[in-house]
Amino acid sequence: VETRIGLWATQQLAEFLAALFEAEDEAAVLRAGVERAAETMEAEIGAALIEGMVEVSRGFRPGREPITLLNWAAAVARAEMEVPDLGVCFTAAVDIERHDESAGRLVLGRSSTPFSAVEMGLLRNMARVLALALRSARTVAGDRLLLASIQERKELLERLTRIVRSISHRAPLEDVFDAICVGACELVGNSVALIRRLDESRPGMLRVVSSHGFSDYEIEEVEWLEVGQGAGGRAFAEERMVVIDDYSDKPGVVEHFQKRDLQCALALPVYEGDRVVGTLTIGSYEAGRTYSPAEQDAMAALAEHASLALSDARLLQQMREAQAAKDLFLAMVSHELKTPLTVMMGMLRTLETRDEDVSPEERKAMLSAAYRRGQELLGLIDRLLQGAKGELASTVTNALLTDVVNDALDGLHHLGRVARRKVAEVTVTTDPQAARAVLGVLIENAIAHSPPDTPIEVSGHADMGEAVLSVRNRGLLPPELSVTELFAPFRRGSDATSPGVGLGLYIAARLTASMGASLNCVQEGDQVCFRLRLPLAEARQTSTSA
Amino acid sequence: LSCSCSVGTGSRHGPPSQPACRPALRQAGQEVAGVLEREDPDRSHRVLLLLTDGLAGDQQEILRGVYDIAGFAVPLVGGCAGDDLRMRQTAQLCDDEVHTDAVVAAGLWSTGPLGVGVHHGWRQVGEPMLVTSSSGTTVTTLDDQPALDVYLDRLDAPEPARTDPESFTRFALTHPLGLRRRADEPDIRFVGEADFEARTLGCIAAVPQGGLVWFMEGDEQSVLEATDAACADAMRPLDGRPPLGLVAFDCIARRGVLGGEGIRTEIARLAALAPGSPVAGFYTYGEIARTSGAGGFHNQTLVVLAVG
Repeated sequence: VETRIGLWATQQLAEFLAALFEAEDEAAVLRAGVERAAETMEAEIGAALIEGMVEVSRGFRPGREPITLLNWAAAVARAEMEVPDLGVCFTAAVDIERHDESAGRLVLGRSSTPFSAVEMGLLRNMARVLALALRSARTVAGDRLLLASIQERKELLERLTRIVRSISHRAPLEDVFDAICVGACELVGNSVALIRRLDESRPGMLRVVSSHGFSDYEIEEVEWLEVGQGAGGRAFAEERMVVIDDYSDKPGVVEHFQKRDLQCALALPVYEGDRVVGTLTIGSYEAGRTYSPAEQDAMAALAEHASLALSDARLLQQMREAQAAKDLFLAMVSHELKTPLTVMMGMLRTLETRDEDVSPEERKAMLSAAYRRGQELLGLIDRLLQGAKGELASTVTNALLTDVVNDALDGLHHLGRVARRKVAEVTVTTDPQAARAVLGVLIENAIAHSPPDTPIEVSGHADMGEAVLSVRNRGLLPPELSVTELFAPFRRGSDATSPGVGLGLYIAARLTASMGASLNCVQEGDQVCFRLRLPLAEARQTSTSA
Repeated sequence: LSCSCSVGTGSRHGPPSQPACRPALRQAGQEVAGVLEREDPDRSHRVLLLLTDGLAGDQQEILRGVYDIAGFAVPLVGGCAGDDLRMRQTAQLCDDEVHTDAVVAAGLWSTGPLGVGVHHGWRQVGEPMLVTSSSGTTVTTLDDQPALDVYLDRLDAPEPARTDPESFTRFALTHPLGLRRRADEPDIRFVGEADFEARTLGCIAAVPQGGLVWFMEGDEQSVLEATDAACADAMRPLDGRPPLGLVAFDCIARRGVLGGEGIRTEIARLAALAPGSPVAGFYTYGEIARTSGAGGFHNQTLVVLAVG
C-alpha cells in the first residue's frame, strides 16, 4: 500500500511539474499551480494568498472570493470550515516560498474528505515545486528581457551600419534621410518619422525633407513648422531631445497631429558641423504609447547619423564645387595666359620675318602693344601666385592712411575716373604693401564692374578705433551671389565683362584677413561700396596695453 | 424546469491536439458559462449541461474555462459530440443553428433536485507505463518507446489495426488508457486515433507527461455494473422519489464492448432503475460530470443526469 501511495504521489508531482513547465510567465505559473493542485486533490476551491491578498483563486466566481475565510484557512495546516453554497469544507494550507520573503500560502478546500498525511506531504512538495517554477519563470523572464535588449541593440547596430555604409558610399542625401526615417519607424515600431531642415528662404521655418508613414496629403499639411513649435520645433530651438507624452493634452504642439490623436512624439536636433540645422522627429498613434529610454537612445544614435550625413554631404558638395572651380580655373587660366602670349609671339614673329616691311611707327606700336600684353601677363601671373600663398601680410607697421591711399592710386590718375576724396590724417597699423594691394584690387574691380566714364571714389575716415577706406562705384552687386560668395575664389558675376578668373576679391579678402583687418561690401542705392577697415595705431596700442 | 442556451465557437486555432489551442478552448468554456448569469430564485437547483466538439482538442481545458466562471456551486454534465467514429467533423445544435468546432451550454434550473452519476467499469491490465513524452492529447512515447508500437505490441493488436485507421479506432474502442487518480476509479482516456508515421497515439483529452498509465479492459458484466452504479449515484439526491426523467451520455466505446444485445440490456436496466420515467441519451466521444472537485472530464464512461 505504501508503495502504491508513493507511486501515486510521485506521478502527481511529475504531472504537476509538467503542467507548470508549460506556463509562459510567473503569473501563469502561479495560476497553473493553484489550478492543477486543486484538480489533483479533487478540491473544489483553491487559492494563492500573498501577504493576505488573493493572488489567484479557483472555484469562486470572479471577484467573489471570501478573503477573510481564505485567510482563516491559510493560517492553519488543516481545518474544517463552512463555505457558502458548498457546505462543510476540509482545507489544507502550505507555504509558498517567495523570492521577496513575502508571506505566501497555497490553500485548498474540498467537500469530500479531510486531507490525509500523504496528501499533505504531496501538497508541500507541490508548493516547493511551485516556488522553484516561479523562480525559474522570473529568471527566464529576466533572460528574455536581456535577449530582447540584445536583439534591439543588434537591430540598431545593423540599421546604423547600413546607414553609415550609404553615407560612406556617397549615396544621395535624400536616400540617407529616407533610410533614417524608415529605420526609426522599424526600430521603435508603430511610429511615423520625419526629418526637417531649416529653410534659408523662410527664416525661422523648418521644412520636411524626408518622411515615413505619412500620406502625401499629410506631408502637405505638416510641411512647414515654426521653430519653437511642436516637438521638432522645440528640439531645434532648445538643441536637446524633446519627448512629449499625452500629446493630445499638451499646448504648443502641431494641431494636425493633435486632431489625429497622436499619442506621443520624440524629437532630436540634427547638426551640420556644430550648427543645428534640422530635426529628426518620431511619433505614434498607438494608444498609451510612450518611448522607453532604450528607444530614446536608439533615436539619439539615428539623429547623430543624420547629422553625420548632413555634414558629410556638405563637405562632399564643397569638394565637388572646388573640383569644378579648379577645372574652370585651369580652363580660364590657360586661356588667359595663352591670349596675351599668342599676341606677343605673333608680333615678335612679324618683326623677325617681315622687319623690312614694317614702318618705324608700326614697329613702335607693335612693341608697345607687346609690352602691354607682357605687363598684362605679368600681372596675371602675380595674381595667381599671390592667391596660392597662405599668409600674405608679413610686415605689420604704422603707416599714414594718406600714404596707403596715394601709393595705391599712383599710376591710375591717367584713367581720369578715379577720384580721391577726403582721406583722414590718421595712422594705421598694417602691412602697407598688402593694404595697397587690397585697395588696388578694389579699384580695379570698381573699374571693371561700373559703366564707362562713371566716377570711382576713394575716401578714408576714422570710425570707432578703425580707419575705414571706401571704394565706391556706380553699379549693382550680382544678385545671384551672396556677399560671402563675392569673396570666394573663381566666383564672378554673370554680367562680368572684364578679363580675369575671379580671383581678385578672393585675394583681397585673404590679404585683409592676414593683416587683421576686415573687408565688406554693401549696395547703397545705385552704388556699390567696398569698405576696408584697418586698425588705428592708437587703438591697437590701447588694445595691446589692455 | 427552465433552460437557457449559449454557444462559444472558434476554438480550433491549429492542430487540436497541440497546447497552442488551449487558450481558445478555455475561452470558449468561459463564454458559454456566461449563460449562468441568469438568476432564478424560484428554482434553487441548477446544472450546466455542456455539448462540445469531441474533436476540438483537450476537453478538460473547456471545462477549466467553464469552472473559471461557474465555480464549485454549479454541477456540470454533458458530453462530446461524435461522428460515428469517422473522426472528421462533429456538429453542435443551438437554437435553430448548426455549429462545428463549438461548445453549446444549456443552463437548467429546477425546483426539484438534479443528480449526476458517473462510472465506467474498466479494469487495469498488466504493469503501468510511464508517459515519457506527450504534448496535449498526443502521446509520443511510453517507457521511452514509440507509444503506438508499445500499444499495439502489448495488446497484441490484430494486423488490420496496425495499418488501417478505421480498424485501429475500432480496436482502440475496447482498449482505452487509464490514468491513475486520487479516486478509486482511474481516469480513462479514449485512444481515438493513431499516427502511423510518427508512431504516436491521439486521445480525446490530455495525457500529462510524467503520468502513469495502464491499459484497460472491460466486459459486458463490468460495463453493466457501471451503468447501475452511475444511475444509482444520479438518483441519490432524489431521496427515493422517482425521477422526472433520466438523460444518459454514454461513451461510444462502451457500445463496442456491449454489442447489440448488451445495449438493449443496458437500456432496460436504466429503465428498470427509474420505472415509469422517460430515459433519453446519446453516444459521445467523451463525457462531462462534475459534482465535486475541480475536474469533470471523463472518457469511456456512462454519465447519467437524473431530473427530480
